[in-house]
Amino acid sequence: MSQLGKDPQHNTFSLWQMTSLITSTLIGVGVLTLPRTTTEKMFEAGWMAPILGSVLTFFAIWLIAVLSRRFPGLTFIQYSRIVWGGHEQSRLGFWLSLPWIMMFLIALFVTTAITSRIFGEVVVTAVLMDTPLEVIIVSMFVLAVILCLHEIDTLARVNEILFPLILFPILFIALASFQKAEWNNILPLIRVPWETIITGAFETNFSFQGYEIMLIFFAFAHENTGKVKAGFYGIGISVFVYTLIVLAGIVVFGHEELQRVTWPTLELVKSTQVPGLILERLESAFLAVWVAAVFTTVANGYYAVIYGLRQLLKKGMLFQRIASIVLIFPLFFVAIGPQNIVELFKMTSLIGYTTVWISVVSPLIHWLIMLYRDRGRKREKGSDAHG
Amino acid sequence: MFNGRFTCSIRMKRRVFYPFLGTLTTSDGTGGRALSQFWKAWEKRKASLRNAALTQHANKSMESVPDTILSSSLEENLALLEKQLGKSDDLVVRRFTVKNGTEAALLFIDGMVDRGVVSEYIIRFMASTSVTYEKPAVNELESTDRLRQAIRNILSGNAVLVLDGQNKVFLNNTRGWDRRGVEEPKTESVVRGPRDGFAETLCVNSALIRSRLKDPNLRLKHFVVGQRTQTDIYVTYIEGIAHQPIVQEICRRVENINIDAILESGYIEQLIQDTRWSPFPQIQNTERPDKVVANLLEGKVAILVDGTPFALIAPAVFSQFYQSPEDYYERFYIATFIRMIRGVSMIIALLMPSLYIAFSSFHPEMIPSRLVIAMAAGRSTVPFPSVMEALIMETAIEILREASVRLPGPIGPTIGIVGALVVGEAAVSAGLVSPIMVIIVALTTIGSFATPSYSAAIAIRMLRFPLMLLAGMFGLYGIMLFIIIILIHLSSLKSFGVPYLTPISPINLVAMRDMVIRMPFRWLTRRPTMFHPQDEIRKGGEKS
Amino acid sequence: MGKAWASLCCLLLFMTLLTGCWDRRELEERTSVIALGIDLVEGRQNLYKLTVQIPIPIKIAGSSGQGGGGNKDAVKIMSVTGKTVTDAVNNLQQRLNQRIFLGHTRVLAISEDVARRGMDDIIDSFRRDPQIRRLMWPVVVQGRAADLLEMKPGLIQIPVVFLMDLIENGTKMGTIPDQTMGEYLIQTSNETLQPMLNYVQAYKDDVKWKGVAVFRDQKMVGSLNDIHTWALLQLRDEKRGGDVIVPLPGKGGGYISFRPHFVRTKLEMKGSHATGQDNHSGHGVAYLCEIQGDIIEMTKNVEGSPEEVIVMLQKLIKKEMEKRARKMLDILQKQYNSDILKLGLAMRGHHYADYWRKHDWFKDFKQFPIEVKYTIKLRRLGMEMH
Repeated sequence: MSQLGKDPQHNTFSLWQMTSLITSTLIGVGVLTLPRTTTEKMFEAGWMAPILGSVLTFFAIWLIAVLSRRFPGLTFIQYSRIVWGGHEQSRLGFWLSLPWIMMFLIALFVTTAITSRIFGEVVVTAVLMDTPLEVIIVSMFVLAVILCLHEIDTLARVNEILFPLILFPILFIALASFQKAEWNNILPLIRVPWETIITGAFETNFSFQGYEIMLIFFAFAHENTGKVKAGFYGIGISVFVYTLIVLAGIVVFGHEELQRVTWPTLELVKSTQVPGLILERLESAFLAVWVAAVFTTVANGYYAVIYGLRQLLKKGMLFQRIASIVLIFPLFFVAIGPQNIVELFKMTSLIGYTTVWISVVSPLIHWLIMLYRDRGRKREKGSDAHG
Repeated sequence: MFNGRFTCSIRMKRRVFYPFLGTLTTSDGTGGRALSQFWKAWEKRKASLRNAALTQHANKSMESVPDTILSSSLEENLALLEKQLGKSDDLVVRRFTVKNGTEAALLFIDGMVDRGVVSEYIIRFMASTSVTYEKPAVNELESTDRLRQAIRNILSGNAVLVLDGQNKVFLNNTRGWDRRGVEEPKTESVVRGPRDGFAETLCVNSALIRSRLKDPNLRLKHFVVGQRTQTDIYVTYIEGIAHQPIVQEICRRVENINIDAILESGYIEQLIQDTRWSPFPQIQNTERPDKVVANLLEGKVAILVDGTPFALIAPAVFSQFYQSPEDYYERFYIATFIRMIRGVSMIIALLMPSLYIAFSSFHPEMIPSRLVIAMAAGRSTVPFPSVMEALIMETAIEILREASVRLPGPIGPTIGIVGALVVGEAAVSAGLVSPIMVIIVALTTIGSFATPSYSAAIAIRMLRFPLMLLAGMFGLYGIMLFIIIILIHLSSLKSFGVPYLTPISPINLVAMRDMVIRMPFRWLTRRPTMFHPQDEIRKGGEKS
Repeated sequence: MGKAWASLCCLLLFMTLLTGCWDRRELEERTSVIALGIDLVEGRQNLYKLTVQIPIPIKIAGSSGQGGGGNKDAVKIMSVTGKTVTDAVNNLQQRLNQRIFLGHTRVLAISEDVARRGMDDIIDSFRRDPQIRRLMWPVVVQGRAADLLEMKPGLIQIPVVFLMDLIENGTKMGTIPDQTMGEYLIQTSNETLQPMLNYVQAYKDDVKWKGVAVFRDQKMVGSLNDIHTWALLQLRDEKRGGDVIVPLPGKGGGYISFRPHFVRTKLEMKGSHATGQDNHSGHGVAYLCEIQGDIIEMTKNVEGSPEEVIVMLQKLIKKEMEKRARKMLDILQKQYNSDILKLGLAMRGHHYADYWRKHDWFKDFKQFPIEVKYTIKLRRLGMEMH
């Protein structure tokens, strides 16, 4: 389509788009259970967990951004082989980078499946009791496939437009529930030993999973410089939302009650009454709006997987479309794998550990190797200059 | 239970599957390549077939007239011309003798020329010796020696003067068939604002724009589209504001149109839009010259088509279909308020029936207890589920709308009253539909008419039906699924390179000032940057 | 793109045609239960009797015009028995043509017998069922719970809505505690405090709010009357409570009525790590309650200058209110030994290390020193000057 398509502004992500991409990927089903999971070990101090837990996340996103800044316009799939093999030995680099890439893609794939499963569970438990779980999961996947049929700039714009739709309900619920707050519930501030707080915070880090998709999407940044900023904004907004919702959960319910409810955020919606609103019982509406949040998580993850495969195999748009439809079937079987809700939550925390590995350790290793190579090159140059 | 069965089946088959998987992956590369080659060949074949059809098609049209050079003999020329026009009976050949004795003939199509001009200023000026002026005294006189051009001029209402002994013919502009005057636009009426609208004549329309925009940089590019209709088209833009690549792209697409007939600007719209399969209009149409001028000043391109009062504006973004020129004529509080009302009415038109279905048959706990009892009482005699009830009523109201558009003027409102009031009331009292449903259908219809653009309103009205079906399957969840699908689709749309959802996504703060909220002119100092205007400044600073 | 749309449309069509709609159940295909009542079955220890109130839409006036009018039998009342609540609901379902829908249940009436035997058996299903509102009103009924559902207030067609409005307006005015199902659940799971519920008495044609039922470990141990509940509301929730009617001193007799408008309560806590020889290591609390309000009735004029009268009245009201609060605290501490004051929560919050870890609150609450101090600020005397 002539020169219009080549306009660089059109196919890249602006700072705001990257921010909303990160935030909307992070905010998903995790929010529905977050008040329970954070208070499990930290009791009243659960609201600190997102703040403390985000430290590692901030570090990881900084690493990812720095890596991406080093290779502007290249995704993790592309620069990983350069890191491992250098420009000269690209074949070696390809084989060395393959395990890392596959690990990344598979973990993302499984996370996507499990996310949609959890959402299916909550929908089936709370709103559509007689609808088969499979239908809910498949309908979510259909949405993800529809997104995958489009080019990457559509992904950015979809995230951007859904961003307020995700943010407003959760902020509204958190703020509206403060009118029933019992502030003594967050006291004493700290009563558990520091080790518990550290473990608790580390486990909260799982709810930040999803930002590793930026290993791919940072490549499309509008300006090479804004990546760190976008990452920090995106995670900062999520931390704020998480803290607010956990705080609301604690002050309204107290940590004991939070341990007893499966979906604390949903119960928060249930016990919130909005004066002057015609509608009552907003939990169905909240879950319906929350489809948007879960959709962005699932679809962004799925898109990243499909796009990663496309780049790994060096294929075009047609491959992306076909792959997105074909890969739904394994995705579906992974999603319905866990037998019951207890197993499902166990699997979530297992994935959490893996994700930390993928999104922190893997970029760290890449970064260290890159530093080592840079130093080697510099020394070479230095010796050249001397000799 | 169900999950368990699935995992079991996977476990059982796993051992069998693994070896196959290995062979599959190895053969996958070659298989894929073969497939893609086949695909390419198929595509090529489709393209060549299409081209062949198009060439054959083109041969039948204006290009069938040989582009020969005329001779200097009058009789030969006349024979040539008459042969090409097939001795059509509305072709008038008026022979006369010019004052210097040369034989001459004037050819024109009956009814398309101004007879006064022909007899007064051509025949009298040429034949009468009392007039010293040598040539026809029409306001546009050209000459050509090409047959095709002569034919084309005859067909477009010019009188062609053939003189014996000259191999040139004179083309006199005598166009003057009966045309509709400039009247108030029917589809886009405003409370405050100019009352003139485009007419069916191209030059009148371009003049309406020129008279509003006396900018020397206003450019009108002429194209002839349609092999048989030979429709004239002006692509209009302001040089120095409009983004050149967009203009070039539009010109390119217009040039590439290969079709036999352009009867309305809708043909052009459908032939040059980016995405064919979208329910949403990607090019705006209007019959208001002031709207065209306002859009030209934002850096957009207008396409005027002969024979229709509807001009096209491209590129278009979603929000622009919910804006009216009146928004700028009223003060900004009023304009902002009205725009919000339009937004609300769009949401009502899209969501109301499906929300009713979702609430009444999936989430009755969300309706206040008192209301739910009343609704249950209203529904207790209704024999259909609420999805069917809503679908039937919405279909009925669409039929009613279509009927009242097609009916001759005075009967239209009558049908509306009979349909809406009498049938609705009777249906409620017969217990066929619930009273709330009637309210909802009425609100939906009214809401959809608050949209200034007919084509955008009809898109929303159409999308209501799949939305109702999904609401009947999943309740609110289904509604949200479809809304996300719509949003994905809207985000993927582009109109001539401009993302359809700007300025919301990608966010554009300058253009946001004129989206839902229409800021006072004091702050509208820049043109919306999404159309990449070259001259961004719209308004200078306040003079102190 | 076109193929995508076409396939999407096909998919939609097939989904609609093949699968149908699993959860779609029209309004008229649900039996909306508006209130539940739970009683013990006499003579059968292990059975509960469940009474439900179901509004009949077609008989509710104003709903559709036809058939409205007479409010005689706008609701249907049914009773079933069962081993658990769910069992009873299932038994009820076998007697109803449409599916039972609990999404509109607004009131859960529990008879005093059931409450005294313990709520743990019946409350679990309310916790698990997603249809149940967290904002529904559980109340303890003096006598039979079924009586509450069977009353006919006459003013309104659905009797339970009458009770619901009564409680909701009371909570808005600050005279009835805002004790919803959600609050009850929170209070039962919180390890620092004890739950309470509103306590009503049903008559043949109306209902009376009598105060709150006090629980201890999910078992009802007694009740507070309205006056004591208001004192509780003032100290615990800063709600204004009801009007205070105090007899005037002197032999003339007569009463004054005081209406509180704004209540501000401060909980002052004493004690720290170091101090404390006695049982409570010096810990203790004092409620400082400041009330602004008006005089709305004086059946007898009081002699003296206006300044003196106001000071005198303030003193009088203060004394009365402190007496009431004291009495309420005594009942809670000595008689019921149940902390519905949310005092334990505050103690755990502010004195976790030095007090909470070393004491068993539920034992210690009995003798825990609590002081109450009211400050009355008379603002206006109504429309009359004297």
